[in-house]
Amino acid sequence: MPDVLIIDDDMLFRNMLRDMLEELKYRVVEAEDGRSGVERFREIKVDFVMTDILMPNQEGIETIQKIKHLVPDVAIIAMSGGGSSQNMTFLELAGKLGADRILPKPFGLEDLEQVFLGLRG
Amino acid sequence: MDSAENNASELLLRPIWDVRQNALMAFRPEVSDLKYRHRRALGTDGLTAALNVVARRDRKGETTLALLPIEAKAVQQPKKLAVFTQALGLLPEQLRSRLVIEVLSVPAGLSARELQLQLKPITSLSRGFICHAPVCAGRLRFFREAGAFAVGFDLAAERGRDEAELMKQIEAFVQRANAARLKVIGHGCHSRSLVMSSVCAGVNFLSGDAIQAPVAATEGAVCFRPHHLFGLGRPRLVATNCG
Repeated sequence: MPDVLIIDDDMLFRNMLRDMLEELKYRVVEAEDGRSGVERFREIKVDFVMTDILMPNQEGIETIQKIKHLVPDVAIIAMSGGGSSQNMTFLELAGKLGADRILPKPFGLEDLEQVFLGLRG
Repeated sequence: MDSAENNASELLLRPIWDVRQNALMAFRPEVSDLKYRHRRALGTDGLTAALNVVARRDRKGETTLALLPIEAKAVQQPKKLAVFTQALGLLPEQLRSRLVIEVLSVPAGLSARELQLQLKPITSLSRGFICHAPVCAGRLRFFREAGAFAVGFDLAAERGRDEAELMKQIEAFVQRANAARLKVIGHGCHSRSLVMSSVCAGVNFLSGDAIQAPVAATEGAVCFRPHHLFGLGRPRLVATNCG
């Protein structure tokens, strides 16, 4: 069963995403911000990382860069709220700076499944 | 001021970023050592430094503003106020129109009308004024009633605080300011996470070490874009139409 690390400061969103991923038969570990996300990644090597962009204590783009530096092959999905154009600007930047996929929030189970299918080739 | 203080409090210029325009909005004179902040008491050195820069840039056809921080209580000292307004009065109108007064530490208990009257001798000789408030401040509408067009917060004093809490407060601050039809300026952004959350919260103008450290000369100021935060591309020197 592949492992996914979710990095997001919104606990409710993490819970919801965990449910969706478990339904898709992934095993999930969580972290509440970028800094602890990188620490978790060092401890447990996962197959996929899903990270929010706007977070306290190290935002998502730096988090992506640090994780890619540790394991260049790990697949990373960047997520962010689609509410403001600036959110999208940072999400697109994440795509240029190491994220393998970008996923504007909100998204559903089918969107998530498609993204993972794409990443798994 | 003794020479030790003079050296320790070197006057620098902080570039302030206009988020929507991706351009340099203003320079703000800043003392390099926080313990010399008392020099904001209507000193003309900051005024001269900032306006010299604006004038020099004007000659190159590059339009910028000077943001001059002033402690509110300094305005209540008649002698200092007289010297300062005299200095302002001697400036060419074109230069005065680039000067924005940034009022710090507005005392509690002052009515909006009283604040407006106290500031009038200065604001009538400048482009206008903005006021500072703690990021947790509730009554931002007061500043609109006093005639300010923007309200600012400074995160320099918030270092070490929980960032998640701070990000929520910035978002709430912007919502309160927008409800009062005030633009928002955020100083002291010391981390990329704070810059990004401020940008997404809708802060109009931003400054801080995470964007650019203060510069000794205007030539060091850059046209800033979000991707520069991550070392993607190099910021370029500002020009009139940058962004």
